[in-house]
Amino acid sequence: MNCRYVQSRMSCYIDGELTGREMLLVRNHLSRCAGCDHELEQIVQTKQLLGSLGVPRVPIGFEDRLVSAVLGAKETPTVPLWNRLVRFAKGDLFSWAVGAVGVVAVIAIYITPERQDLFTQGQGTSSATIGMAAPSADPDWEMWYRDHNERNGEFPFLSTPRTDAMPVGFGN
Amino acid sequence: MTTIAQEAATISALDPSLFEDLLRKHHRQAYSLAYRMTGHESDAEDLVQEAFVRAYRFFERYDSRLPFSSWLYRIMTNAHIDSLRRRGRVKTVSLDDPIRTEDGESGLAWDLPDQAMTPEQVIMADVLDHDLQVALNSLPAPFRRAVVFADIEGLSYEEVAEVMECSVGTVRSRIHRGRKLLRNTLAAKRPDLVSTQKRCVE
Repeated sequence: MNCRYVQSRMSCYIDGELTGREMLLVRNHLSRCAGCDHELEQIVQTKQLLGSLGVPRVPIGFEDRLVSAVLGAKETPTVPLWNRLVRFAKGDLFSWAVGAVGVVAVIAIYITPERQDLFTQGQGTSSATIGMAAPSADPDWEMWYRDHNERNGEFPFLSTPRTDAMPVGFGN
Repeated sequence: MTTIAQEAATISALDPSLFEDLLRKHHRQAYSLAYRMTGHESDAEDLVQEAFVRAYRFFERYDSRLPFSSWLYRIMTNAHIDSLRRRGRVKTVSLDDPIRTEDGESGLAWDLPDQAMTPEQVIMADVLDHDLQVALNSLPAPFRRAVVFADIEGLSYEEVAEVMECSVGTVRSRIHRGRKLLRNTLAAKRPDLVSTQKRCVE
């Protein structure tokens, strides 16, 4: 092991980055070579000087300037497509699924035959079900109501009523 | 004390207010590193800002199993390389050269206010720190970064290789050559700091 090789390994020797065998060889060389030993001393001094450097003072107001510059930057964080899908699957997907089930349930209720039968049996009760009670005490309204159902042959509130035939004060 | 796992869980949310907490926690360390890399206050501020902007923008690429500071150091290293490249393309003018006009040299010189430190400031300043920083600035940038990471930040060779995205062998070489160059510069300018050189006999 010559001086050139030892000097090329000197920093590793100081930092403990050599293998055990190399470490022993370098140590052995240093014990009998004054030049390399002195070189080692200088490198150690340099390392120690660097380690003694103080922490630079952060300029006044830099922290707040930095926060506003970074978080106020126009470019928003970019989210890769895959990560967006994963995030959607983890969180948003559940909400969407719950919403979709709700919508399907509402539609299903309105298209089931039992529900349609309910609408077509006894018009008075069915209109009351959806919050539009027929003012049965009013003879004008009852007349218009019967007349309209006969003309359309279906539940009155699922078709557009003829306004010209409606009694005054009921939407015309 | 926040653990790495807590920190990772916190930042995976990508919430600006949580990123702000991270920024406030790490900005001093980042500034210290940037100052040692650039050797100048305003350059250090720019470098820290650039690094945090990149970190915020590309946060999804952060591997939360590693400390945030390591990832930030890597970004800062790349940002430093980019800034040096940009600077290489920018035309600079020496203030010592006479001002040139369309008719050639005017014979006039730049008259700028003296920004040198006053004697009082010189006394107050940490001269050793200043001289060391000047010596650090004289190193080629890759050597300087390796030395700063290893000797000032105290990273292992493996960590330096990770941050600088190069092999451990390259790190070994850069650290050693950096220290030797630094030693030579200090021996020339501040011989009181390092012992005088003896020659090898072999």
